[in-house]
Amino acid sequence: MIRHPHTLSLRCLSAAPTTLRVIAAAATLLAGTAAADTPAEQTPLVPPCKQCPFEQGFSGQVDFGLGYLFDDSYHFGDYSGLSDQGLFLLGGARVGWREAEGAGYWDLEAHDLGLDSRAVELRGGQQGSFGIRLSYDSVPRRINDTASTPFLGVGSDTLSLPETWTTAASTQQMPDLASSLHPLTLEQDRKRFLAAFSLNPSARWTTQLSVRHDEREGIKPIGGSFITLASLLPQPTHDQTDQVDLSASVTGTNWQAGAAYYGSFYRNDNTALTWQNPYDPLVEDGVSGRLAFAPDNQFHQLSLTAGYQPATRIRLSTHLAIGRMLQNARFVPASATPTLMTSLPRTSLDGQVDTLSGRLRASAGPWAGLRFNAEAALDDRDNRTPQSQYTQIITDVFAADTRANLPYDFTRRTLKLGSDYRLRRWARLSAGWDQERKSRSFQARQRTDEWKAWTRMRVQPVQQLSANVGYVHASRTGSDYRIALTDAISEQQLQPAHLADRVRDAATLTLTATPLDWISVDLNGSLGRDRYPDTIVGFQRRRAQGYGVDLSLHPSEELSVTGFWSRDALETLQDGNQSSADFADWRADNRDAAIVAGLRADRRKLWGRYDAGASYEYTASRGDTRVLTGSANTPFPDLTTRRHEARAYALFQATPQLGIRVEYRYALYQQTDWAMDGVAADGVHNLLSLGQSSPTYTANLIGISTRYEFR
Amino acid sequence: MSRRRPKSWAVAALLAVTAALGAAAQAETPEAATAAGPEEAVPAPVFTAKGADTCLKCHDEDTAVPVLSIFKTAHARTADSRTPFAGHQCEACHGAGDTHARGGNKDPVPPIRNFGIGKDSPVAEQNAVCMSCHQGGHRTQWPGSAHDRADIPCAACHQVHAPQDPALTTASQPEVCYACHRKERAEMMRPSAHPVNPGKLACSDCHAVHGAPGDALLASPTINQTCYRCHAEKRGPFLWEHAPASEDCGLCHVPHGSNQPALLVQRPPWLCQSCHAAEGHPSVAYSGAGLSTDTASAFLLGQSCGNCHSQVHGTNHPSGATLTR
Repeated sequence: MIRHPHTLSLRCLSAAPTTLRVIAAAATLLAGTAAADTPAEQTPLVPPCKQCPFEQGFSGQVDFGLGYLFDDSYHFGDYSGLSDQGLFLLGGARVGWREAEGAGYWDLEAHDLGLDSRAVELRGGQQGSFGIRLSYDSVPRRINDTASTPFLGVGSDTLSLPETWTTAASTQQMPDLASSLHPLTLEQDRKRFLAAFSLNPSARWTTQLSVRHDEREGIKPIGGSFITLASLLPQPTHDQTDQVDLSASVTGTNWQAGAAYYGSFYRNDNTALTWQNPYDPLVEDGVSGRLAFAPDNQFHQLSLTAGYQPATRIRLSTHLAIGRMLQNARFVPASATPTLMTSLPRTSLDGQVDTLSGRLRASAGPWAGLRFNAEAALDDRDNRTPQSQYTQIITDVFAADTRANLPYDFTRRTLKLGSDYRLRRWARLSAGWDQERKSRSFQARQRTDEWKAWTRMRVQPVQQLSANVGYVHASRTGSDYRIALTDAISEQQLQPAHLADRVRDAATLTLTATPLDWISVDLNGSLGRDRYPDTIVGFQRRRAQGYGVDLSLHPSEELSVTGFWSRDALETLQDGNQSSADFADWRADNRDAAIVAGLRADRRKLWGRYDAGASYEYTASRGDTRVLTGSANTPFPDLTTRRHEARAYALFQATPQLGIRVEYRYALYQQTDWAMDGVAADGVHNLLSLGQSSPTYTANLIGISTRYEFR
Repeated sequence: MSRRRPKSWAVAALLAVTAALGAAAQAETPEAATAAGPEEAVPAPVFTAKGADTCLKCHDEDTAVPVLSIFKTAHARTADSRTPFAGHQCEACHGAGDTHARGGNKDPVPPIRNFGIGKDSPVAEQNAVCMSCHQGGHRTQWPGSAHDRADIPCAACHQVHAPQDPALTTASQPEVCYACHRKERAEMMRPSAHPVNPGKLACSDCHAVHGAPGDALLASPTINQTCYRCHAEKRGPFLWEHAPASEDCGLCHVPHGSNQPALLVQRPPWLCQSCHAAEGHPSVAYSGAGLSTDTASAFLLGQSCGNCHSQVHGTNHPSGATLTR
């Protein structure tokens, strides 16, 4: 018989005075890992297990089959790649290899190999020593296929109009518009490659290097205008982002420390989009406009993290990160209109933003059941970009004033104090106080302060019933607004949403009942209200409410049924002033609501050889907008979305190795959006739109595949 | 940048924290431990002589608690000296089980450490077992983090015995999180949402769920740095910045899902008008009259304000101060 006084190393902390332990830990930190690696106790070996079926050799499963999509349903392919009617390949695999009597391993996973959403990942290495990970993931965005445009050169950085194009003062007067429209598909594919390597030089040390490469390609809409004569343009996307994460961490008996470098490098293949002006030029040679694309940029960040546990109930941790954003891409010319060309004060921005994030967190439990938590944090964005004066050529039409760029600084300081107290074995009370100060430069309000008091209570009077209730009250104020007497009345009355004085109240309640071991019912509700007591123009009130129910049934290991339903609503009241009155003269009342529901049932080992299941999901959203001006208030139609999606599958295990899976999937999607639907290319006199409609589809698909399992 | 003197509340808070730390340290003295301790009088637990071979006499795949699948996991690699099966095998995590094993015929069976919500073993004890090995990386920030303070056992999310832990797979991870985060589940089902439900993004791509330096357990120190991991084109720094966008993406976008396009918190033009009220078109009330054929308004339709001010995240165009270029 073997006796071991302590199972866990955490319990092996000596009873030495705290100061000695601090010194010992510091010395260990300085000395490296050798001291930390010294085992505190010698653990006798257990005899090798004889009955344990350790995994070794190859094992896994391979899925292969065919699917058929019965309908063209472009938006159904958003993220799934299933857009086009017809056959598609079902392919996936999960294959592993484990070295017998060793630590070598390989795992290969592949999903959706026949679709544009395919993903493959390979992991391997020597467990405990090193590991590698290689992955590829394709993320297809299928935005809209009902758009059309008269512009040629879609996908390039130069958009032109047909040679016969005749400009006009408005879209409705453009004689060649209707005949020049051609279909436009809005989509964007992201491909993500990852290579990671981890090395564990010792049991205490972990090092990791990962490199991720993202590339995006596609077409998205972007607005371009000449004063107020606007066009929605097909914007090409061809860009790449490389990210490097390099980290090393070490753990001791009661401490951990780590250092990391993160680098992100963004490159855009396009620098600008130039488009031919479809309208009558507002300036003599104003035949084209030019939009700048996102410039190449970099971000570098070094971070340090450490945690120390001088005693079982005391924990200190800290995180410090310093970073630098850089951007120095060459400027595009100030104007696309030759006669308005002006010199620039610099050829590139030499933009630099230094970031600093620091956090110190302490957690202490003076006695069992009581714990105090404290956190102090600082986030600073120090914009060191040089300021210069730039003559503004407004929308390539006229030269306006000279403006200096405003390199915004932000600083956020927070202090959070909280405690958790177990009143009884069945009751737990938490409460806390948060304080936040935000400082900003070049903005209407230099400083805002917000305090927040919160409390939560969890009670579980009996094993079958528990309740969580929470309440938050917060108040935000700040420094005086910078108002110039030359500002419009409405601007003087404005409190911007993120700077305004605000009083916030929020309450949550969750009840969970498990009347039987296999039944769980959960009811939840929440109420929230923001008030803006000193705002004349801007938000007046935001009110949120939500409630829902969850049901979970697990009558046996083989059968499970889960369902949920919830409704969330948000009402926003905001006021405006369009008549320079002393008061707000219009109000917008925006009400958004969404209902979601889901039901799922799975049955395993039905008649011994079948697995079967079905699921259904439902989303209904509605947006109701009312703008009240005191006179004729023409209502807005509702913004609506309906989505139904049902799935059913059955897996027949023909042999222990071979299974046959049949899947059916049905989806119905309907959306109405007054900003898009029915707005033809010439529907608005000063907006050459893409004439697209909200996505609506019905999709049916069936899939039959075989699953081969081996070991 | 200006630096201000710390406020009195900060000093008071620091003193309070120091006092709490001191009290906690005092509670850890040998005297306090002895005074606390009827449990210290309990005899030290005893390990079985044959380890897992003893456990497998009763526990297999057909019992109420199937266990054999753990041999397909990384924990069951004897060649890796860090794993439970290189040590006390099952008892490395479940605790010394000789009494439990010898009492297999008794009713009730003498308890052994179990993992999960509602188990007899205290959550702190459960988690200490896991943390005794898994204490590096983001878990450095675990103590005092949101999930720690909520008394969430590791096993509430992780299925240690499962060959494929659902919490560690992108496609299955959301369901694990949704078990508690119902509001986020509902938001992810809205018309505009990040591709979490389609299996293209894991919750852990943005959230360091074991503890993080930032708010809301964000994996990067700030909201914007988290967003820039996938949206680096919006990072800049730009010549002409849009201050709220540089400060906090969350001022205009919700992270999980929205009724509005592009995960906006509100629909333009009213979203823009919540901060912009200059004389002229920013302060005008746009009613439903702007939808009719005769008076269709470019301030409402299409991309609303974005029809002209399309560079709302900032622009590097020298003439882009109004974010139209």
